[in-house]
Amino acid sequence: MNNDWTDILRDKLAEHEMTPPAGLWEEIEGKMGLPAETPIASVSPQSRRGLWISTAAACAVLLIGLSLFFKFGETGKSEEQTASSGNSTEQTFAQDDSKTETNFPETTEDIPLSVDSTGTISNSQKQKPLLAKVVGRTEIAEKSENTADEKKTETKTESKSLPASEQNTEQTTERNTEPQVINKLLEQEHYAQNFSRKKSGKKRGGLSANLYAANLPTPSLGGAENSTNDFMYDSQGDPLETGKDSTSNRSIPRSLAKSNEIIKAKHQRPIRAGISLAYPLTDRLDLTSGLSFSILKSDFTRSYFGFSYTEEQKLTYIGIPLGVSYKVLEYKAVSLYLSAGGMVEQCIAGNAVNTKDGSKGRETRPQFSAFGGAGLQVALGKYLSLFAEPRLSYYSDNHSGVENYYKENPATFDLNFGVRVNFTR
Amino acid sequence: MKLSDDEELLQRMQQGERAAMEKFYRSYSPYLFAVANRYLADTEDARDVLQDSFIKIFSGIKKFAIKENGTLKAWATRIVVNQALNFLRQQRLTFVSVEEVDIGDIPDEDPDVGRVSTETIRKLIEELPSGYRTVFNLFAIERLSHKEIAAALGITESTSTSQYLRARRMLQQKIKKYLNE
Repeated sequence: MNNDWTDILRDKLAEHEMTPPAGLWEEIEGKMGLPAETPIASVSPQSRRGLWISTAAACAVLLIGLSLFFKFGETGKSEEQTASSGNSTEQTFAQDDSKTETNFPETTEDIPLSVDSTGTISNSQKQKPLLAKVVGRTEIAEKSENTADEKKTETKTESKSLPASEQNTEQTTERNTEPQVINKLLEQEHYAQNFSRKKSGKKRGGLSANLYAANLPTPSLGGAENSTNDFMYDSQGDPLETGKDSTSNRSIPRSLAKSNEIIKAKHQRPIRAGISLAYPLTDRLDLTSGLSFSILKSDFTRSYFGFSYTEEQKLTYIGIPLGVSYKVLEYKAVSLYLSAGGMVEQCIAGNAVNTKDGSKGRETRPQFSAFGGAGLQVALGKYLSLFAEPRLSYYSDNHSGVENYYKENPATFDLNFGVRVNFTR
Repeated sequence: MKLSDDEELLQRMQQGERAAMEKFYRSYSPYLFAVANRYLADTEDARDVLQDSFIKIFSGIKKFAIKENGTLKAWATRIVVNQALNFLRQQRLTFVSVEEVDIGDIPDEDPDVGRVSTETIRKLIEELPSGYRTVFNLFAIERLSHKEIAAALGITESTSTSQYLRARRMLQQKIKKYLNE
């Protein structure tokens, strides 16, 4: 289409320069806030703060709800126990409390749960373990006689739990991190076991709270470990898909792959952590719900005239599952159960890359999923158990322009594992 | 294998070396400012776009990698162009209907661009309506296809084509008029 005169014009403009405004460099320096010879921070403090606030709010709601629920449960039980002991449940807890108090501070201080970006777990006194949530919750029940103390404990628990969720945003989904996380959970279990030995009570029949984590360690049905789409361009500039996964062409519309020059999309396995509650409906059947936090990271690589630029998309989802679990077998401390249900998730933080138009914004559409699976639980004490629950999940298409692991792998296996604390009513 | 100057400078910037960043700014800001001014009629707007572009470049420098035949200049140019397009979108870039603009007689001969200074050419491009100017820059200077321009600006390919042809003819007229003065 170009004629000669526009080619000449283009050549002339290729060397055209204008004196930049005076003081612009100093303004750029100032806006970036760079002290001399300091690397650039790439994470916005505002976005991180927003995540903290969201997490704190969610935890607060959950903890308040749990607190009220336990309080209600204790009232019912105390009536039963009054007949035999003459003391309320609060007194029973108080006895346990004295034992617990001697161990609990050690537990919270000694268990590190800091996972750096390479997946290495390191000691960090500032990073409180996930287990702190459970123990903190127990404290609330134990000290329900003292409202003021309860509030303080709850506040303390929140402040402890936040770094744990925050650090999850820094985790990567490298395969080799999984055993380390499992080992860490086992470490937690070791401390928690010491804690649980101090307590006594019924093994079953109460509300249970689970802490779990998952990072989808098994291959998805799509077959990709980390879903990666590679595109190359033919002579007409149209992208030719070269990705292995048959679902790869979902990620980047062909027109956009060219116009915005996205040449590669890589979706990492989600990392999920949260707390779940189980309410016994019968001896074998439990109604389960809870709260989950998921981090979905994707890298979109764009090409710029011989350069490539990798743009990260990190989305934080909060999810509410609802389901049932049915105990199939039980032999001594080991039990096998089946579970099924659904979950709704909402993105609460992170700038999503809209691959349809290249814009950035918030993912506003909810994400629905259904799951079914089987779980193995090993009781480690009267109140504590370790569980692993492989699931087959199906994530429905929410028809937003945002691409993530769910869109790439709608049907996938994931593994939830963690510790479970049973509370008696 | 010896690193090219660009690769070395990029490496130093990726290590957070402030002096390298300043060198990059001093080397390329005059050209990039001219690029921004091609898209934006207001010099103050071009200044803001240039500033945002450098911040974006430095903030994301660690995620860049040089491939074959890549140059820092070309990459930075694309950043500035994208920032300028974002700015224009925020300003609700409008595309004047081709019937609304009287471009006068269409010159039969190609204008003798060689006789016009670069700064004058830039000013004449700057005088085009924003929609014309944007499409002309993207097609004639950045060498994007109408399909790519349509996707980038959220318009149809036919709109991009008609805007370009109109801009081209209007610029021809302006250059001819300038040369005849």
